[in-house]
Amino acid sequence: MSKEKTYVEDVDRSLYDFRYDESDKDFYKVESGLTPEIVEQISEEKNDPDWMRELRLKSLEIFNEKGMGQWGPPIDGLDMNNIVTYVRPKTKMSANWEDVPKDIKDTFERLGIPQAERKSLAGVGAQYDSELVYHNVRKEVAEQGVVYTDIESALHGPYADLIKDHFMHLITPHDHKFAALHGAVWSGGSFVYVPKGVSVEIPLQSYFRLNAPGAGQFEHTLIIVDEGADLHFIEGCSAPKYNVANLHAGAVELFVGKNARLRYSTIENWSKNMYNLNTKRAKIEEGGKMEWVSGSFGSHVSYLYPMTILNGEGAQMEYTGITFAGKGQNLDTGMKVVHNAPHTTSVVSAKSISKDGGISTYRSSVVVNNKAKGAKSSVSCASLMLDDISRSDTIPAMDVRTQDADVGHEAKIGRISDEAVFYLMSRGISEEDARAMIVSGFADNVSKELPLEYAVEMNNLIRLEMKGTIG
Amino acid sequence: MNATQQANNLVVNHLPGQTWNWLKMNDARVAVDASAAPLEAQITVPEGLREGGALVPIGGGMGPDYDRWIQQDAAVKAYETAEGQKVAEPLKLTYALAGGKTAAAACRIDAKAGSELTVIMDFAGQPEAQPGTAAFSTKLHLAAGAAVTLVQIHRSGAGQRILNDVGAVLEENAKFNVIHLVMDGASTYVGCQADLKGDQSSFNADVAYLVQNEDLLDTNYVALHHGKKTESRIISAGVLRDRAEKLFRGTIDFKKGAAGSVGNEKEDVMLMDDTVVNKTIPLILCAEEDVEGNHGATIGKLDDALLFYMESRGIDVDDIYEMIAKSKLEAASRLIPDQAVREDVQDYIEAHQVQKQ
Repeated sequence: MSKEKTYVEDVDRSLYDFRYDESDKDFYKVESGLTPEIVEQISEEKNDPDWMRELRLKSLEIFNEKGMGQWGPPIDGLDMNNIVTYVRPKTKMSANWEDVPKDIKDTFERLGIPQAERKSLAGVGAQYDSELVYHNVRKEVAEQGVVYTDIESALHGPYADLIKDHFMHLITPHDHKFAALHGAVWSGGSFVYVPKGVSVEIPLQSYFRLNAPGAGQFEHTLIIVDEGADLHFIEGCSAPKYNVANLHAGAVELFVGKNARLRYSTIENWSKNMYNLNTKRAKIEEGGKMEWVSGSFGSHVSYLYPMTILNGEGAQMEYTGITFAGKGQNLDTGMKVVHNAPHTTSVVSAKSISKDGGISTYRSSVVVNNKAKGAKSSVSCASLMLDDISRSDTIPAMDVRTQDADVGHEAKIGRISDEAVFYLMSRGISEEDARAMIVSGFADNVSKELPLEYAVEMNNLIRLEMKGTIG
Repeated sequence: MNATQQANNLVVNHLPGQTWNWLKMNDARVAVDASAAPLEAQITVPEGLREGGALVPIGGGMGPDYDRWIQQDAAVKAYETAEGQKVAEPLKLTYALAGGKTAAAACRIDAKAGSELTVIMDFAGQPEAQPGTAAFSTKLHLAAGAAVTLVQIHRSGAGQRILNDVGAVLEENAKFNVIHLVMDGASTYVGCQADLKGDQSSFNADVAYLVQNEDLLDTNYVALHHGKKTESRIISAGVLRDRAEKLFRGTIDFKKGAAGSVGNEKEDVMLMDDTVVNKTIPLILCAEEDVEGNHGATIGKLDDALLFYMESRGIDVDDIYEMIAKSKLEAASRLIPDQAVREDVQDYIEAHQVQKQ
């Protein structure tokens, strides 16, 4: 069979690219750049407790001392002197959409957030630039003792000590340069506490929208799922495209208690001027389970590797992820897992698609420490190259320090199989449809892990429309 | 320490795609003497092979730092085949390693179009050898249709540090097979790079190792696919025991234009003690759509089903592990094309390598 090339249409971003001009009348913002004065100003603005102010200033020192690693995609286009680290809409956070300013409310309406809340969510947090503008949790969920609020409120309420005991303990400012940056200028994000034995039947969602050009978003998500509890948390993010660099350096710290379960799903669709340098980390206690579901579609450059520390006996982790790198995108994604206790297990299924000059890199590490007797890890990654101007790399590392472990890894890189196309065509399917079916099927393992509404959104996002064959 | 003994810090075995520094897999740092004594070999030159050949620069798996260092002092032997000549007997180079002062040897092979050659290098430690460093560089140019099999046997004995670099450039339809057997050595660094420059050229590496005591094995195998319809296959199988440490880097690098190419790599590591450290990083780098790359790794204890089967035949668990460990080396040794060398290596495995504690 002759080898033909398939043209796959780019993701349609019109849904996400609308924007409103932000006037100074409606928004408060700090100067661009990063100085101790700006950090103090943010701290003052947010009425931080003393320990938080000290953490910010210490983090800034670490940021200034730390260099960049030599291993990832270039971030030369990111100049911190041009990034505004704090932009606050001049409105209070509300639990009623009617109280949210019209432009902002319209933004979230167009993104379908209030509708989703009514239909399928137990609670919603909506962040616009640096602050949450809406936060609400269903009454029956709140009555179970579930806490879902913004971090700032939690810092000054009855959970202040809990925040202090966990905030940036899992991800410390020393981890890397952008963790330090986050520590210095973080703002917004959500705090979730699920009490012992409570199962939250439907998901909570936080949606992060960065509207201001040349701004950074540094939200902090802190989730504690106590012993025997169960939660599905969904994170969505998007931004309109600008000609200047935007930066996202959020942090997600997840604590999963004994025999608890947390599923953390992300559909990331930042605009293609975004540097997405995000850090996510979870610590899992005995018998607990962490499930990551991750779809990475947006950003100009991404560094994203959710890390799981399996800290208690029998703790488990599953990671299911897909990355779609198109024109102008360099998406470096993957995961890290540390087996730190006996009989821990990790199962990873990662996929990537590269097209139209896009670069996707799968990067991972599986570390099995000496005390992780009986640990098992299985990693599978597959990459699809849709043309010969794109690039796809696979860089998986394994470090095993006990005899009593079973670690397996497999990876494949290739193109759409001619044999599979031929088979489908022999069943009466057109070549165009056959190719579309194969590419859609490639992403299927992620979409089937999402609630229906989000699977539909993801499929819309991919919009792998086959326009015919060329070449 | 005089001027010639001053240490150089070489950065070797660079991972072609860098990753997190904290994993300590991106490269290896090796301190060496500034100069080395030429290391001469006992050589058996087969009929049909002559000394000489072009000495074009060829990159190796250890990297440019190492190349610069070893080129200063190494005893160089260069051979070439005649066009279309199928050399029936192997070229044998036996390096008797006595330890002491750092010693270096280099070998150049120029395999002319359509020729065939087997090269067997034996890095053999002498009884009562002093601790020391022996460094090797083997560079090969395979013209169109040439086929070379390179066998390198590491049995340097305890206390020796071996640095072993291999680099090959393959023209159209050339075939390069490497068999590496690492049976001992206090620390062993192996870099092996094949540049599949010509269309339909192919590279096979079969690697077997046993690393024990407090020994270290650090490897870097790289297949650069430049030509169309090129093929690579890197298979590594080994055993770690005691407090041994091993790092396997394996890279299949599909360059733009390498359409129709296929690369496979696999590592299978059996860990026999709870104090070993095993690091594995198999890379696929891909800038071409029409390729197929696969890699796999299995690390850990023996498969439960196999263990159960053999136990049910009345074999003690410890004996099963010993048998399997030995079989990994023997499997690679069976690939040695020269019967006398093959039997010698198998005797060595039997006598010295896998012994029940």
